[in-house]
Amino acid sequence: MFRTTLFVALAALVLVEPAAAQRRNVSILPDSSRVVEGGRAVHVNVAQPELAAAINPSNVSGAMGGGLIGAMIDSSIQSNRAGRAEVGITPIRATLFDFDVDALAMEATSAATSALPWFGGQPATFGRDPSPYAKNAALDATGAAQVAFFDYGYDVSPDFSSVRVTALITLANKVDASVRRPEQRLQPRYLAYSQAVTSVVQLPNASTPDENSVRWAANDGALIRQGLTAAFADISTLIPRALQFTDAERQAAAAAPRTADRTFPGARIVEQNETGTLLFAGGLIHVQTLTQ
Amino acid sequence: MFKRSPNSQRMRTALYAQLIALTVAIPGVARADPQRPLVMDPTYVERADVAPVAGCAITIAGLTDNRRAPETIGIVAGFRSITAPADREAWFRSVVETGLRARGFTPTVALAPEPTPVVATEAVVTDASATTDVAAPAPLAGPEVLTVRVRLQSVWLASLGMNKTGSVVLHMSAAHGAQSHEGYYRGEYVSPNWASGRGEFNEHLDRTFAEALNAMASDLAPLCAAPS
Repeated sequence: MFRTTLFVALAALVLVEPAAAQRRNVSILPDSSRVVEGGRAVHVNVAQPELAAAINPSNVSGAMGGGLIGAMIDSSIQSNRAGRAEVGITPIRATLFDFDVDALAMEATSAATSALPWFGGQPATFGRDPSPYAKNAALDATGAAQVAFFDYGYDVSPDFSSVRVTALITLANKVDASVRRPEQRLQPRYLAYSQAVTSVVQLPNASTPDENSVRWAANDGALIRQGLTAAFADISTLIPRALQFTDAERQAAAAAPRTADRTFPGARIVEQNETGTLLFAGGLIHVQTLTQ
Repeated sequence: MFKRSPNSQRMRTALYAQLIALTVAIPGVARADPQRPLVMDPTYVERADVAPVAGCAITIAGLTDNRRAPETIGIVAGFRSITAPADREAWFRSVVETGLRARGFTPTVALAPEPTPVVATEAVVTDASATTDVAAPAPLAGPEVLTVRVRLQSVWLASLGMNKTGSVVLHMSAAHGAQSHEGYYRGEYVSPNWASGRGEFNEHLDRTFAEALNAMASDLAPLCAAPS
């Protein structure tokens, strides 16, 4: 009897702990939390100095039910895929040595926060370290009541058919009476807001990975420069939209029809027009095709 | 009721142990302190055998690092950053100096300001009767010894799935007499990520630099020939 009780209690604890961590929906910024007295400190992170290449992760280990051999096969496959991705992306990267993507991220953030007068965004600072350690240090150092972190990433898809820019928006309070230790300020349950937005710019008439790579890089990277510029401009409009997303909009988006595109499994179609398709998969994803 | 076998008893014990471990581990992970950055070693170390080229004496006249936010040079799975050593100048100097020495050169560091490009002035003929034969401009005289300037364009380490990835780009401009060369040199390296430890990332960083240095040394060697 004691053993059964212990079993049930332990199982309950295991199940309850993750649920407790996610009990607050921080993906919506309520009206009452929009204005922060004194404004918000803004910090931009671009944790990469160059265009990245996404790869499809291998999951042989999972299919085999775990184990060291499966893990070693996964490692080998992913190493091989990473190697091949590097071969394809190197000519594209070479055309971007003089192209300041960090500046695009700063401009997108500035445009986005300026579009929301209530946001009170202070001039942005720049870094490459989105780790909790660095963010805690930023919270300690700021004079503002809240810090808005914008963590950017940009890469090309595994088949080089599209370029993707993501921005993770996190609003964290400098002081939170409910936390027991300062480090907890960045735990999901204590954040004021956390949401990701994504812009995907597709290569028109994409074909094989090799050909796509050549097209992105041609003419001193004309298309990759155009694609990245378009994606960051897109992000600058998606951020204000995400920050103003209401609970009613979220519910409507979650009930919208699913897209048939297997690239975004389970995503809902929020809008579809000549500028592209706006999807919802927990966060907003805008997909457009590059105009040549 | 089913009869309990010794095996089912062992399985139950194992299950209890796992549940207890999870119960302890989950809150532990959630409340763990943010991890301090992995700080890389202050100097470059040659980690693998290098095939030296037919090198020569070389003057390293420029070592620049204009990267934005240069202290961060990578991130492990999004939660722990990798930072360059505190003295980044000495670190980069050791990369180039040690790397070129291991590849057959005899480097001397003598940093000097970048020479301003010489603007050719047009010869203006004022006297119509004067000869119109204008002497061709003499080739720009380069340094007596092979001189290089190296810029750290980018460096980044990351974990990708179960692997570590590293990418380095060096820009080199070299001159020796009338000969000159300029180019970007990329080093890429992928290896299994065993434990996301400082030591293994440090070795990975050095091996990534080595890839770029190998390519750089190959292009430098032909410039060793006496200036013509």
